[in-house]
Amino acid sequence: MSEILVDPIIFVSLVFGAIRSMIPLLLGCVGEITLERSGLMNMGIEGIMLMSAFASAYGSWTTGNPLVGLMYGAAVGAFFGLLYGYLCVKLRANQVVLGLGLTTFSLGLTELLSVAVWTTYGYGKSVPRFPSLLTLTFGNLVYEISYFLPVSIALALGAYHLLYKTKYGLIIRSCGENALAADAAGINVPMVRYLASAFSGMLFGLAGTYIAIDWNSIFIRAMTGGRGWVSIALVIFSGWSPLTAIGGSLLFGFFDTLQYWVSASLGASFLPAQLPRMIPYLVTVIVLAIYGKKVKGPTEVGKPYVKE
Amino acid sequence: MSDILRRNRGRILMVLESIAIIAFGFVISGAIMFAVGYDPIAAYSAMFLGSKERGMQGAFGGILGISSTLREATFIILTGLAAQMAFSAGVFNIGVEGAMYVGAFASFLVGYLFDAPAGSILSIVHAMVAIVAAMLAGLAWTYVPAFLKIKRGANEVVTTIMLNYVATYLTELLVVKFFLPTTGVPPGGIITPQISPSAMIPQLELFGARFNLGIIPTMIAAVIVFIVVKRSVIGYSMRAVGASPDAAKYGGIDVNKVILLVMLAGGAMGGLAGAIDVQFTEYRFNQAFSPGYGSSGIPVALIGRLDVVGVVLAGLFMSALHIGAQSIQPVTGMPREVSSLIEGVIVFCAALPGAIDIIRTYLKRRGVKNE
Repeated sequence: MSEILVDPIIFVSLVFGAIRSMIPLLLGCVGEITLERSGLMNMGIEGIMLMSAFASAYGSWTTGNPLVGLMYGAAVGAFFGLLYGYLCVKLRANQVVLGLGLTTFSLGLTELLSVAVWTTYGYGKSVPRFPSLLTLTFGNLVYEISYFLPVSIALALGAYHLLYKTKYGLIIRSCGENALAADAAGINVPMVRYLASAFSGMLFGLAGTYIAIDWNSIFIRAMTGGRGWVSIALVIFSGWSPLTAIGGSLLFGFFDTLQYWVSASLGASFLPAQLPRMIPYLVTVIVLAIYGKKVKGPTEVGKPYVKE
Repeated sequence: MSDILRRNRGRILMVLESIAIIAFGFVISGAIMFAVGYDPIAAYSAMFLGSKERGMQGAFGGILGISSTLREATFIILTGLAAQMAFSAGVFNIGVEGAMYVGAFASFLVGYLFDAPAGSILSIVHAMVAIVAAMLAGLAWTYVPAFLKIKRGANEVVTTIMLNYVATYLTELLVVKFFLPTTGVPPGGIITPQISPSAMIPQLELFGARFNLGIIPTMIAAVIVFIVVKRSVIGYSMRAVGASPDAAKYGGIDVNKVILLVMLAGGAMGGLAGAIDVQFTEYRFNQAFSPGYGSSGIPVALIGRLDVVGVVLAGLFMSALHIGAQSIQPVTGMPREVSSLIEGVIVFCAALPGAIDIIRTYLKRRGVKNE
């Protein structure tokens, strides 16, 4: 996979690489923060991202229009987000197990559909991708800035504004801090959580869409590569704040891109390719080790609320 | 007879629920296959009974199929036991896969670097030392996320998944760097040379198929887990922590110690699974040996209802699913990942204890209405 991600622009500079890598992490993280503020925890981000990645590639393939792909990706994300919310709220599902199940399911489903659509195993065929917002040239180096960059930052700022500056934010946060009290105050806790689930699912869907038809222009088996899980770590790192998440995802994006840069610039003869590939995963573990205890999230996150 | 039924009502209900969940997994996945344009009946038949025309035996359609299913079951039962211990203490240890890779590599190192004369006591010692090294390596690897959870409050789901990636890349790196010819990757994939014969445990030849003796250490592990969980103070503490960490703490149980213990035990079992691949099966370290045995432990523990006997049976089932899926590709053209599809639906359903309650209340209500 790394070859496909890195091949078109071998000497991409770290900064632009980080900007490119941060987008799915930021989208995943902002979605998860909003959801966790409402009291649910989605551990199936990885799976939703993957399914949306497929859906967007499929949409772009059949219509030749990446915008249709975007709609497919966002819709599939919102659908699975809502399903997740429904199962957690209504059927009191174990949220971690449900997430793991969704992730396993998505791997099987996307590969089955990918084979059915493109008749090749492991990867699909090249599909139309999004045009870039800006193309910057420095000498003979070309950098592309994606439309998803301003969109994801705007969504992060919007989520911050919604959560902390509006009445609705207070309602969402009260469901995550003390669902019983929120209920007593007349808030429809399940409805808030459904809406948050659908919204977060849509953001995970956008992240998958970005990975499939903007960053790449193809669907590849398990192409999300653990970014859903990194997003969850990023939620903790950013202390459940969408504003901090912008900086945090840039930092994580930097480490994500560092692996390609290290392997491209130093070459396999000097350094085996596996070493840089470990970087993003190791950094995630280190960050959790440092921030795991320092920050406190919503009090009742992950606890099902059962109305008496 | 009815007396036995009544006394074991809870147990029978649990078994029925697990069977219902599995059936649901097949029905939903079958519906998806049908919707995509494949024939689910042909797929399931190829999966379990094989296909004569294509020369595939599926999971049970011949002696080779059965021996493969039993071989793969040893790994999945071990990872299932690891997941079971963690779940019963309320911990999510997803890192068994990583422990397995690290353990397999340790087993290979000890098996490769040392040698003992064949047939002597020393060769038995050598094989044992390699197995123990694998278990210790898995244990040490799992100590990292366990320590981070207890001391630093790091979410163990995320850290163990991240460390699984690290373990596979790390072992791949070591093989590529030190055990591959400089000419490049051999046709068999990223694999090491064979271990010394003294560390190899022979396979049993029966009816023209090879049977892996890994089932012996696996069953020993199952018995130990059974005794620890059912008959020891540690097992009681585990269940207490799983039910409510706060209450357990109040009752004088060292919660962190219990969490550390279940995670480390899971790591050791992952390591053992790695050793079984290297010393009992392939006699070398194969970088691609696991198609996700570690993650299969989770559904196995869940549909085994956190019970040792249940986990052994569920492990056999899950193994049949994986081995059977290998026959699906040549027979129907569907990718082997359909096993993930079925597995995913099963985990999904197993996460819904509320669903079963709701169905029960619904049936009760309907019963009342009808009367």
